Amino acid sequence: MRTDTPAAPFLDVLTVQDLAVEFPVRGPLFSRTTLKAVNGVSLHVAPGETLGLVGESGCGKSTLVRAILGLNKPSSGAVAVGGRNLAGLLNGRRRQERARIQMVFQDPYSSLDPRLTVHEIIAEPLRINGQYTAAAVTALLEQVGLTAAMGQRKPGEFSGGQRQRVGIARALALKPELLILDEPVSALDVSVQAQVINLLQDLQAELGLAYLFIAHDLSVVRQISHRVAVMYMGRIVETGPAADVFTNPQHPYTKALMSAAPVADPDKAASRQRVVLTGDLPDAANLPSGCAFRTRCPQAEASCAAVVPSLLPPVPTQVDFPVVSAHQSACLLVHP
Amino acid sequence: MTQQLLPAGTQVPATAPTDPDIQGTPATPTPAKRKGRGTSPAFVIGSAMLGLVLLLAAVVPLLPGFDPFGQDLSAAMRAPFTDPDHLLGTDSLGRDLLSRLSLASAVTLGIAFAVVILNAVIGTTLGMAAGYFGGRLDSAVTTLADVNLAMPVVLLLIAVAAVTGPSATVTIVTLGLTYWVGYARVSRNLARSLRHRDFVLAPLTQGGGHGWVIRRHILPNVFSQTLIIGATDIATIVLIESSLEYLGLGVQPPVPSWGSMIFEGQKYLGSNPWLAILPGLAMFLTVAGAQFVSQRFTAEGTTGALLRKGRTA
Repeated sequence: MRTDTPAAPFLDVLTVQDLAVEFPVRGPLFSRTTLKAVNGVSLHVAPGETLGLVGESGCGKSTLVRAILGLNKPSSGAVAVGGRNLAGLLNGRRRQERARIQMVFQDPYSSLDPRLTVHEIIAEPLRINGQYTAAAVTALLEQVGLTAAMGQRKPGEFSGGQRQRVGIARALALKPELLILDEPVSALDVSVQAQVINLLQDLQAELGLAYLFIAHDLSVVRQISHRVAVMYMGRIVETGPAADVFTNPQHPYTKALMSAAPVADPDKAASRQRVVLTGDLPDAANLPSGCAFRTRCPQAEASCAAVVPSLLPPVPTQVDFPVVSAHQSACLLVHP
Repeated sequence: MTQQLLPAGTQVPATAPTDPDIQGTPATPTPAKRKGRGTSPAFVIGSAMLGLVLLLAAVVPLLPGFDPFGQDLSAAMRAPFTDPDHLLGTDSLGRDLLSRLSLASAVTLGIAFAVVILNAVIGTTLGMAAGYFGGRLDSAVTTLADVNLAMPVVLLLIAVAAVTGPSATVTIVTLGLTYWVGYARVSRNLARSLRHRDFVLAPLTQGGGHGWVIRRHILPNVFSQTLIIGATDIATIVLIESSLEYLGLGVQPPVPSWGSMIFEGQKYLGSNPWLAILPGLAMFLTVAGAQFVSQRFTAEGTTGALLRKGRTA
């Protein structure tokens, strides 16, 4: 768990405001409904900070990321980079601003074109933006712990950890301020995971990078994150400093998530209380009324069906103000 | 991961590093990763067959005495190897059969190549666009392909030829616009499967447009597949073109083609069967040779790695 504060906690690199992404789906017979994959998400990442985004598969993490990167069109809400709303910018300018956010993909096997050499893969973003020099590619290779000679090989000759290093080098090519890391180590062996995490932490210290770190492995999130946001069915249900959220989870979903994470100490593991959820994720095209979690919540009450809980306590929206990292949760039982 | 690339039965060296990532050293390159290529007997025989036909088309016109049109009724209907002036004999008008066969090969192969290239360009472009962009464009192209398959090409060609008069151009354009469905299907499916791969998404998040992605990542991966279909299609088109020539649609006399030579020759099947057998033999060498050669691509294809899923690619 990190207790250090980010280097320059001013003007957020990334601000997401009430973002919603909907997909049309076919209902029974000829009816059409919309699937709300992301349903009013707000988050912000300050320079040099790591925000861990946690949630089970299908909760909308990837859709959120795709919307931030401009691969999905949001149905409402805004994405701002460096405080500038991308929606208001002309295409060329928007592309330029968006380049300040770069992505490291989950699967290091499908994220590298098998036909190209590693040098060419890393050179691609530079070529697109007319900044290519061989020296720049070599510098990027060395920055992630590879050698210039390795650039002449194809991805097929590299191990998973090395491939992920190539993916990181490609993401660093355009000198971003924020990296979106979509489960960057979940496809790797545990021993290699630690090396990649260490590399990411070194790069953060060296370059002042901010990370939006998406994962379902809580121990990894705990190790690397300053703050954590927990997502369930397209909404953020709890957010706050990593230390607070991990030691004192408030939302019943977060509690269940934390109790599902394995504990290394068998004595502790035996004594702690497990919260086991029943049932499957609800159908995203047909969400329960009120709190989306109430169908699986061990503490749900009748009132939970009536109101959609919002994140409380409220935090003043800051513009050029040090990050307020309040511990918020969206549950009627916690905030009646 | 690299071990999956080894051919069955290869011993993995016992000293293989257990964790190559620690020092950042690359995984050891696998020795003897692929078998020597081009050594299969089918490929050698196929190349020889195709080579013979190409030699016929390209070299014979350079020989002295090349004259596919000159008639000499006094020397008509000679059998092969009976007249030193006409190595393969003469036809009913006394025209040199070797010269005519050579010109016919050039004509038929020329038409076939033109048709295949036209097909490949149309099919790959439509298929790639449909698979990559999806949506309405995809439905439109798929429907067009289905309609195309249902179209009786020979009847269409007869109809077109009735209006414009038969010619090589009409054959090329009509066949070129109707046999692209195979290319479209394959490139559509490949583009569809590639579209959501992360290596295609990455440049889109880094300022690249769809044109960049198609040029750099979709087309090169689709192109090798197009080559494979093209190699097999040459044979099909040669057969179709020859049957059309046999029916009198296509290049007009006195310019010969294999199909029209067989048509003329069959009248004399009893007296001089060579008139029909020789162009038939050239056709057989081309079709069988193309099939043998293309086997190499389909067996251990150039993009086999891609098709074997991304993991070992």
